[in-house]
Amino acid sequence: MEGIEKTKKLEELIRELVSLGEDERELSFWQMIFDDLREDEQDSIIAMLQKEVLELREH
Amino acid sequence: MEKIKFFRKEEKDREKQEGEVSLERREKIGEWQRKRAERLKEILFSRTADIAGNYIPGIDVVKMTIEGAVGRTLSKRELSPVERILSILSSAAILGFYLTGDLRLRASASVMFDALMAPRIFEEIVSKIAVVAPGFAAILEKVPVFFAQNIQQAKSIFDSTLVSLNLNV
Repeated sequence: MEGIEKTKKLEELIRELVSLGEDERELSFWQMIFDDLREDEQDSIIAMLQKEVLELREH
Repeated sequence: MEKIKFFRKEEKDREKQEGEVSLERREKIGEWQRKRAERLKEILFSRTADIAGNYIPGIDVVKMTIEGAVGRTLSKRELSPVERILSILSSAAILGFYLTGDLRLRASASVMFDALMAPRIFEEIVSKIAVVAPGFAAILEKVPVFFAQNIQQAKSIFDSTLVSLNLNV
């Protein structure tokens, strides 16, 4: 995934997580620092959020 | 008084939101929030690896505080997700001051926050940190923004962090 795509993906995931009950202000921090993270760190954050979305959808 | 009102309102908002979310989902959310806090600690800690070889008195203590930051205040109250992030960032900011040899961290939290909120002063400190730890400085640049957005909680958490590190005067 390219940088802009990753940022869009992050925004989508955060939107969905907030709708599932997550804390918007805490997640806004990750959005704030996302561009300054290394590629592997960005990937790991996106992967974590994706897993959380899947888990929360089931509960 | 204002601060108490703020916390009560925040608690009520959170209860309202949590009331609409099942207990099981709330527990899952809590687990993920803790995992993210752990990830933040790992990221900040790894950014200081390049200075690990240079012995500076006090640095290890502060680095260990980032690594070991716990999810509760000195009064043992469980931290909210935002407070947990603020707690880790406070340790990181203090480490930043250590790195520059800047003694402004020894002021009270309110004075510190005047300084943190003054972009010129903080920019100067971050530019000094950038020389020794550029990756760390890039994250620290975002710290005042997040603190400013959560100013009332940030002051209290920052003060607690200074006390826990025995840095308060």
